[in-house]
Amino acid sequence: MLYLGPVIFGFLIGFVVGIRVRNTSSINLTIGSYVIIFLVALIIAWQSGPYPFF
Amino acid sequence: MSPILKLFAFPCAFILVCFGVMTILGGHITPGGGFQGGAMIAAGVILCVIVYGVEKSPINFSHDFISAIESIGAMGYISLGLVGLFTTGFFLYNVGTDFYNILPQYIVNIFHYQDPTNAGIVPYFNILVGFKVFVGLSAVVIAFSQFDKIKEHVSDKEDEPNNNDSKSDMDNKNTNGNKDSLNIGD
Repeated sequence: MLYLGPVIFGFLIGFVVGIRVRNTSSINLTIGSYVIIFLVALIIAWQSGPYPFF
Repeated sequence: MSPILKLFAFPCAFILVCFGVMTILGGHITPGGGFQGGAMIAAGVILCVIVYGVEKSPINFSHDFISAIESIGAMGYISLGLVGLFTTGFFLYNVGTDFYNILPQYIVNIFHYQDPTNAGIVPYFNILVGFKVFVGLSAVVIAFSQFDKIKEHVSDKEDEPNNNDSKSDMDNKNTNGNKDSLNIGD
């Protein structure tokens, strides 16, 4: 079952920190890098299971 | 810094931030909480600041951002505490759970955190403390890393002889003027 609390507030905290991330010349992240980060995050989340009980 | 560190630091900071968010959100049922999670997020930010420098850091906190998040954290915490004070008479009463059955159900429904553990408003406190801590600890390190700039700025000002001389002349004139006025007054 999906519980809304961690989903909403996890997104909120991630959003607050994430809006300050910028692509500087020292790291040079391409779109492919963001896609890989997203896929890895999705796989880890799927493997971890429902939030409070993993 | 070496290229290896520059390659490694940002992905590591990403993982640290995610782990910090997870610690904050599980604060009411797992070890850790708002402070610890906030410190983990700040660790990610600090890692980036140390490796890339403040100006080139990929996670960059501006002064306005820090003050806004810090204020939201503090004011939100106090506001949640005041809700309990105004509705029940107890500051920081858990209005989302209502263990003493003194609140109407609609208030409990508003503040109940959507979670199977019936934690009430405790996760909200963790989240707000997390906000406050991650910007607070990051601000300390950002301020420390900019001390050299302040030093250079101060030494540049001291090295300008013309401005100092003119300033001292003006001071002398003012003091003389004050003396004159005192003489007149006497």
